Amino acid sequence: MIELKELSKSYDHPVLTGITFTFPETGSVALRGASGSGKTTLLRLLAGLEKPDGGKIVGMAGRKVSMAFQEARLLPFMTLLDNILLVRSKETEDREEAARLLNFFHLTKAAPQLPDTLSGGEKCRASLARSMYYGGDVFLWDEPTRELDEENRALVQKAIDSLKEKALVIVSTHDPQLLCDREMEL
Amino acid sequence: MKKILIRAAEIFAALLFWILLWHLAAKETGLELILPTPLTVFRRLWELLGTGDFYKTLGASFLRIGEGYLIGVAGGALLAFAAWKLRPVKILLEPLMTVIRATPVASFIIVVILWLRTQKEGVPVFISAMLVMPLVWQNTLLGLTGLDRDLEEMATAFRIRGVKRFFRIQLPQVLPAFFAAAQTGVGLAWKSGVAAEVLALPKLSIGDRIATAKATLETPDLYAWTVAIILLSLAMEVVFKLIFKKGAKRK
Repeated sequence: MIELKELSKSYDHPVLTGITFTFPETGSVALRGASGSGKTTLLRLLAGLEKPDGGKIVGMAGRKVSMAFQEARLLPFMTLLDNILLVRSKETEDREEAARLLNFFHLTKAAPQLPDTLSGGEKCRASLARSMYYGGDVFLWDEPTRELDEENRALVQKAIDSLKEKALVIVSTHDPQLLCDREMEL
Repeated sequence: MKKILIRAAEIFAALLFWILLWHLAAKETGLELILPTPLTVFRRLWELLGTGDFYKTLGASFLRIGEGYLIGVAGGALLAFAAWKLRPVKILLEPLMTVIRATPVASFIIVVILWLRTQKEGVPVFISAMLVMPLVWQNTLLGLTGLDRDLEEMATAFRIRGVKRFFRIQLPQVLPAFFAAAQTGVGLAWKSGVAAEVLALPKLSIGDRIATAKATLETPDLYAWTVAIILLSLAMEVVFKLIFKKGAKRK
């Protein structure tokens, strides 16, 4: 279990104030709330990219965290396939797995292309494929259905449902159609 | 292809215009000692091209200046990396590089001649290196300090560290700035290197030939050697441009 205990974070104004929540070992949790309610900040705190101002996160130590940022953050000088392969070491590289994930997200044709030539939706899916290829115990996906059409949103739902069997998937979303086991309102 | 031909024709027309202007000015003044006609200069260059001494001189200068250039590029890049990693190194180097950049080349050359005394051959090497180094240092450091923060964070999130992070994520972002400086450095190395040779007069050097031409009032020789330097510098810039272009594609 991962516990948030009285978690607080401020920038120039308070973003998270005294958040207490318990995440299960596996399953899916949707973080919902208006823009600026702190969904992304909470994901960043869970990923260890930022430190809380107050309170603590218990149970994250030793877990492998896999992130999909709101912006795809793909290296512009590398093909899509290389961007995916980059996140694993040479020893654990698995081209078949990368190809399978690209196929799952309908990105096989885009694999040899540079990110600049891709649409926003393709970049978004590539970022999810990269996160799945990296693998982990906890998946933190920030707005994974942004810029996606109906068909691709269904793919994301399918991906979450397959991952949650063995891992914890936490997604921040505005998408009412994206269904998770639990919801956390911020 | 058509675009390239049009561009080539434009460059050729511009060159022709300036050479014609030079010819008219030379004819108008009639002072061959100060301003020989382009025909005289190119004829002299043609004669020089037929002598073995020309190539030996050119080769010796090329090696000296090339050595200085490579030291400058490598030193600038390494020091930029050190300054990026270690703040005290940056604090120490910043004023030094500013002073080197602000110092007039002529003063610099004379100081180095005093330092190296009998080692005349070392002066153009040292000067070329010192002129190229701050340029490469500054550009490379700007590239390193301007690394994309989002990509850095992505690398942290996926635990991409050390050598892999540097070569796969950071270096490709810095290379365009490094290549731009290295390319500009070619012309700078030539100009400063030949100036150093003119003042230090190492044996078998373009600078020595220019100084001799000046002393003996062989003005066409002076111009012919200058044209040779310009052509060689341009050729080197083109070669480096191609190398860097290839490097940028492979990164």
